[in-house]
Amino acid sequence: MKLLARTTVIFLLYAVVVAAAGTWVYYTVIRKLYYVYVDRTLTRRKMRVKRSARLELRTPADLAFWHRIDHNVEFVPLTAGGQYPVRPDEFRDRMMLNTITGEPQQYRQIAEVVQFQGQPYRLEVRTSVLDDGDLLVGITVAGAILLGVLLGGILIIQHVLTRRYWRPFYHTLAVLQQYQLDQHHAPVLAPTDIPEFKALNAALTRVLSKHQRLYHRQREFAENAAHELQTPLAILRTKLDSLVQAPGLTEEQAGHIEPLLAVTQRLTHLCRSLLLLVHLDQQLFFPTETVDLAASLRTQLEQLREQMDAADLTLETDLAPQVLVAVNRSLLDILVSNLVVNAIRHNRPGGVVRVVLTPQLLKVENTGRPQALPADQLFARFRTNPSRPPGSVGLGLPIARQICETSGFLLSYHYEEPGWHQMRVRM
Amino acid sequence: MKLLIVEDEPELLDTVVRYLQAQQYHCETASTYEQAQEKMLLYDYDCIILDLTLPGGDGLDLLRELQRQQKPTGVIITSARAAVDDRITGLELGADDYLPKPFYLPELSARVAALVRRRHFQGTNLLRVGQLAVDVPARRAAVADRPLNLTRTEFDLLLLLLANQKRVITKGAIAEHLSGDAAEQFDTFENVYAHVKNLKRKLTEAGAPNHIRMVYGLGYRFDPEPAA
Repeated sequence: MKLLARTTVIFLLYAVVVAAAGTWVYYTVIRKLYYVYVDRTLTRRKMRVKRSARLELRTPADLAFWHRIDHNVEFVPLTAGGQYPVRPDEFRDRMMLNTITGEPQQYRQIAEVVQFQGQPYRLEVRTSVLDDGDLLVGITVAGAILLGVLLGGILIIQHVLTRRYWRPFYHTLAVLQQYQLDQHHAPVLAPTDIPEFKALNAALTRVLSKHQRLYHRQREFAENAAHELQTPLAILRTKLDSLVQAPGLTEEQAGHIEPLLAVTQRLTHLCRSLLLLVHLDQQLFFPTETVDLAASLRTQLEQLREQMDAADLTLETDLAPQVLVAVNRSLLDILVSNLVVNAIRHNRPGGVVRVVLTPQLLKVENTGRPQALPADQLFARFRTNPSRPPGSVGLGLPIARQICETSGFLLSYHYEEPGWHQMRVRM
Repeated sequence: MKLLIVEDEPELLDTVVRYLQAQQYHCETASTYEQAQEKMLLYDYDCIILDLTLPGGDGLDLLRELQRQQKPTGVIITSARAAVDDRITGLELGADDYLPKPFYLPELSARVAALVRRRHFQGTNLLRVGQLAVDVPARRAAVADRPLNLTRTEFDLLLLLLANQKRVITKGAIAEHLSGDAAEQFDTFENVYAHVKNLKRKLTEAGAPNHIRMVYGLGYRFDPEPAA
């Protein structure tokens, strides 16, 4: 549930509770006020009736006559000499049948024992009152309408608030969701007047640009280091090329030069791989074109045939005639080459390299050690692994993975019994 | 053949010049942007070997200037900048070839030879060494008019050897020349050995003297006039 929805729900629950309690309070207060008013009216009326009875009426028949005219005034004769509690005002509620409508009706009544011509009467003065149920229903309905208006208003206001005041927040969120450390510019957060969002954006901008600076510096460092190594390597290599030309070169000297040549070769490969990785990490623009992966595969397999023959490997292929992909040609060649070279290098003597290509999937399989390799270490840079052959730089698969990422492919490793190691590229 | 070698690293410049001079090229040098600019505009060269990162400017700007002047000079870029776009920009600006540092001297020599051949003989040229005749554009070779049946790889190998006569070409240089970057991924030079052996056999069978010699397991040397 969204943060705003959560607060809204809590607000609404509270509003409902307040509205229910409010209805009850209203009902009690209004009822009390009403009865105070009714009782005062009844008391005054009773006093007027008592005065009229003393001054105007002559006979008990007059009393009965009054009741006939006004049902709400009644003199009930009491037996003389009886003991009656002399309570001046005795209020009570009672239901009576309304003679006109024929329905029971709630009445409020005040009663007092009075003497009329020496006879005790109980004087009852009453008035019809608002039914308690009706009152409650009325107040509840009013409360419900009020609550409805309140809720509707809150929802609308919330909606407007979300759209207006929370917009910078959602903008920042969207920017962060799309943020990648290796993008070229620090993300631009929308300006806002709201202090909290201002502070948030300022803090984020500071952290992000710091990280980005660090990241760029580190990447630049790797790139510069690789670049700076190229020239000394070039000198080393050309000097060695010149050294082997020396007249009178002895076999012993040649024996010293040979490993130097091999090491220079390895350093060169390492430097180039590092540079390629750095460039892939930087997501430099690699122009794409439509390339036939099947043709590229066939060419590469042809070129690597000698290496396979040398390692006594059998090549099995099942290639779709044409698979067109939009990709950078050089990167694709490196990817294919790295995968196949990997399959050759980690093979066993007399083993098999199997390459299967369908329009969606490239599978490069090789026979090897009869146990699965740790997939998480497989793509790590400079992984130290006992199965790493001498002379290998250990960047082939990381580069392959990075190329796949850059090209929008998915590279994964699978192991199948017995001893089949499989690299899958999903296009 | 007159070459201009633009390179700011004195050691590298010195080695390259010596190697190419031994290949009978006339070499001039420039080690700053200004020097290179001046020489390029004043004189005509058959080929310029151009480093991109120079004190005083960017080698790509020199290329642009050369293109504006419409000089008929071949250019080979040698650069430590391995960025893909540098390579593309360089070739778009009229460079003929791009050789990333670090390179092998025999490879550079072969590229210069190929460029000079392309530019000067408009595709009709015959390399002759003793009885061996090589028609480069047609990719055919013959010994005393007996055609040699060479594979693509063997022919490339022969060209590399001919471009570096009397020089030792290391196995690494040969491997890289023959299979490009893939060579870097293998430590074994057995393929090089096999290809050289096949080429030698075909040459000898056709009646040519034993031109190709192995030098202490380091590499091979092509001698135009082998001593017996």
